[in-house]
Amino acid sequence: MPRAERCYDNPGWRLAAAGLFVVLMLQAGSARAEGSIEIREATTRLQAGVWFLDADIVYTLNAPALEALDSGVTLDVELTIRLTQRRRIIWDSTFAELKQRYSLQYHALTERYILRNLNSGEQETYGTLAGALSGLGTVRSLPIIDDALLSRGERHYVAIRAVVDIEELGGPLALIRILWNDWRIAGDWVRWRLDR
Amino acid sequence: MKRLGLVTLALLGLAMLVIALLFLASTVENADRFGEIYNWIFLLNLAGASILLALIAANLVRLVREYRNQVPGSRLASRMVAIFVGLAVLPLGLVYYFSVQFISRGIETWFDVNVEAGLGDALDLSRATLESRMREHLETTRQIADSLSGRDDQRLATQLETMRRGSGAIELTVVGQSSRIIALSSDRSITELPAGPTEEVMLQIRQGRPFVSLDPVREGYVVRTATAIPASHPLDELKVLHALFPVPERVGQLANSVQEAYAQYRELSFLRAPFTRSLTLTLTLVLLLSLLMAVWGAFFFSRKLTEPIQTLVAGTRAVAKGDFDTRLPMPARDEMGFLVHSFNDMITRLAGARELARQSQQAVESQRAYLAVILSRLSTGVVSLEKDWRIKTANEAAGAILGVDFERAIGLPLAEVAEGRPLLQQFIEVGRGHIEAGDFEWREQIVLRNEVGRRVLMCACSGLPGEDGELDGVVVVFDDITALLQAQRDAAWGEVARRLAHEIKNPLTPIQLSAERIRRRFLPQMADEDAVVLERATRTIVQQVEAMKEMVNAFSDYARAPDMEIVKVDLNRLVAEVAELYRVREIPVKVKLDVDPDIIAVEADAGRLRQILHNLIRNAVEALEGQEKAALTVTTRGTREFDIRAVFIIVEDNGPGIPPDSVDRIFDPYVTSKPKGTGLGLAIVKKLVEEHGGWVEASNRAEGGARMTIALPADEDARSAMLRRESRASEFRRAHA
Repeated sequence: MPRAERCYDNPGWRLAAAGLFVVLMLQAGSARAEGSIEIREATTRLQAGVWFLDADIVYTLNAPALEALDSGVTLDVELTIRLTQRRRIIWDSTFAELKQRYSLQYHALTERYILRNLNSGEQETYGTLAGALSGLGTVRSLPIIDDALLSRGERHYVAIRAVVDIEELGGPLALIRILWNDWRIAGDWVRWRLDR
Repeated sequence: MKRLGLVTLALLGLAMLVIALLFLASTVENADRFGEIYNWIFLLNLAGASILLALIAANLVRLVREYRNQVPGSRLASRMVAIFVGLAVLPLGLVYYFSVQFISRGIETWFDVNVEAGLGDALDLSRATLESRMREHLETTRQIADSLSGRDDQRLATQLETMRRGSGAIELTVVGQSSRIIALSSDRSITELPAGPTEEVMLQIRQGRPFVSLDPVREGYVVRTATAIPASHPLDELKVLHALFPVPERVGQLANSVQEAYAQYRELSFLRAPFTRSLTLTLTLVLLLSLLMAVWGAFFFSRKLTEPIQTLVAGTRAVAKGDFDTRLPMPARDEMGFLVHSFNDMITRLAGARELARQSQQAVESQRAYLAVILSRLSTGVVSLEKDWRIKTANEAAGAILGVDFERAIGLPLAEVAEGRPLLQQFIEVGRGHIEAGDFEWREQIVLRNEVGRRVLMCACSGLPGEDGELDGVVVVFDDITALLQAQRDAAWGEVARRLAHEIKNPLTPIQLSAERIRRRFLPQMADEDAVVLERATRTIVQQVEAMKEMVNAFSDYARAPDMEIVKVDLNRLVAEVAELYRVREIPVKVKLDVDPDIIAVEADAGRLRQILHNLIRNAVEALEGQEKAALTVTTRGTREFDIRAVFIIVEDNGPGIPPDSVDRIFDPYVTSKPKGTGLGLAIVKKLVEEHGGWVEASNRAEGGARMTIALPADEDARSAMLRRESRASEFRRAHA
């Protein structure tokens, strides 16, 4: 199994956003409860000419996220799988990126948690949050790329990261997700070499 | 060009700010589109606010500096900025306050305890309703499971189908260990995979508890039940009956409605605080930008309004300093533009008027200078006086005639100037007599007397009318006609002499001859006594006739002199020779000479010059008869003034002097104060001197005695100038008068 390594990424817009001191102040001013996303295990395997991803991710929601979920706010979970190709002099090039999106919602009438795979449309219900998070964190046989698309003789890497946020709200509520995203939890990138 | 660029830049910046604000507002409405670029929009707004703040600060500093330096227009600009800012801040502040209040209060009023409780109750009610169905379905499931106990797996499918139809379930599934499906009966489409029990279901079943849940699905709700099929033998495999029961569509819709309402209310209730904050922040940002734009606009427009005023003030100051070339740029076609246009028009007219005035003044100055030149060249004296007898103008001739330096006396009262000047005093007295009598237009020949003689002036006076028609002063014009009168007298005497010589000389010779014949014929025949008488009588006749002949010859000399014979004469030598003749024992007069050694040859008629000297010295010697310590001095001086080369011969004595009333007539024939002489000596001197182009003056010395001064041109050029009375000759004479 390829060894997964942890790395940190800083996309451009995040750098720009860092310049917005007002936003930063607002962010800094709000108490952020502990929350984490830990990728316990992530593996890739080549099967029938297709690379599949298996991963076990442990989601620990922070208090605002739990409160939001309990209040009926749908949480969006985005699992990003990024494939890069190593270059010798300049930075690596990203040649493929896959986003697997889920939504987690507490259904008050049935008192159950609904987990939807927004990519496939599948949905499952769970009587407990732990069960729902467990179901969310279990990724099995997720096809990520056709092996034929990988250049021979080149080094390729795969990196995954999960981010929990509240759903995109419509109307005047839109700003809330941008300005007061206390419930946002972003995991670290975990990167490993895509090796046969 | 630079100004246009700045304005364009400012307008672009403003447009970008407005667009950013609109984007910000749109973000509130549609987050999906603008959510990702919100940070950029926020940054843009923030940058705009910073730029505006910097602009406002720069403008404020500039305004304060101008206000302190009292730059024109700065006070108006300050007031306008204050008013604009006040007008902008107050309503914006009010709007902001009420908007924030409205937002927070309005959002708070959306949420009500009763509504929340009602929604909770509705949810509970729905749940209770559904739970009863769930219990029923669970019971049905149990019954089916009981009925399936001990059945053969092969027949389960058939039985399940029968039971599903009987129970109204959507799907019945029997699963074994590891979720292996043993039998299935479903009413759903064959494309849909059977919904087997989840891990959660299996876990609960293994714990010995049946499972029932209400699951939301796309179409509504389903009741999911699961229970273990009782084993007929303890070692039998665990089999689980998993069933899905439909919820009636109407019930599902109602339940869904309640759920959605409840969920939405809870969500909004949870998000109201950040929602309020986000709206307030957006509003604050929009208001801040609006306020900053308003303040900057206040500076901008106040500057635009005061700029033409400042230009106008600068233009006015330039005009006040006399710069009529100033033209102000036209700001716009508004009232200020009209004002500036009027100002420029006024300056153009002023410049034109000034140019005209300058030309007029130049013309006046030119005329005045021309007149002054004419007046200065006039031999006639011209003096204009103001009403209070102050001297307004006077020409040089006036000064020369009256012996006053009028250049220094302009503006002074005439009476003050006349102090110590007897000629001028007499002149004033004559004039005053007329003017005090109200006679401003008069003409009179006046005679002024002083110690050196008399002057005859032909004087004319005219009143000068002022602007209001009243008398503004007088102008007095006078000519020194002394020389003219003298010339007339000389001419008259010459005529007399010529006639005397002609009329008297002719009969003298027959008289003398007749007397001598009588004497020769009758003297021998007469008695001694008679002879003595005859001889005495005829001798007397002959002597008197001789005397008369001499007199007539003198007259003849006076009337008709021979032609001039100009030669170069050593004047000093000639003076010495003549003077030597009078240094004899018989003449008790001490003759002194004071000659100028620089005098070189004088071009003159030697004979006439000798006669002039003889006559003058003889005249002085005769005047000194009986005088103790009689002394006589003959002085010669050379000069070259006014481009005139001349010599002066001055004969002074310490005798009794000339009677004041005879000073100006001493050179007339038969004017003499001596008992002897023909009375023609000085008249001949004058005549001979004037034939040379010179002049002779008689005066009394202050220490006593008489002084005769003769001025003679020393060369042909000077004689020609003096004979023709050229201006340099007149100036020369005035200087030595």
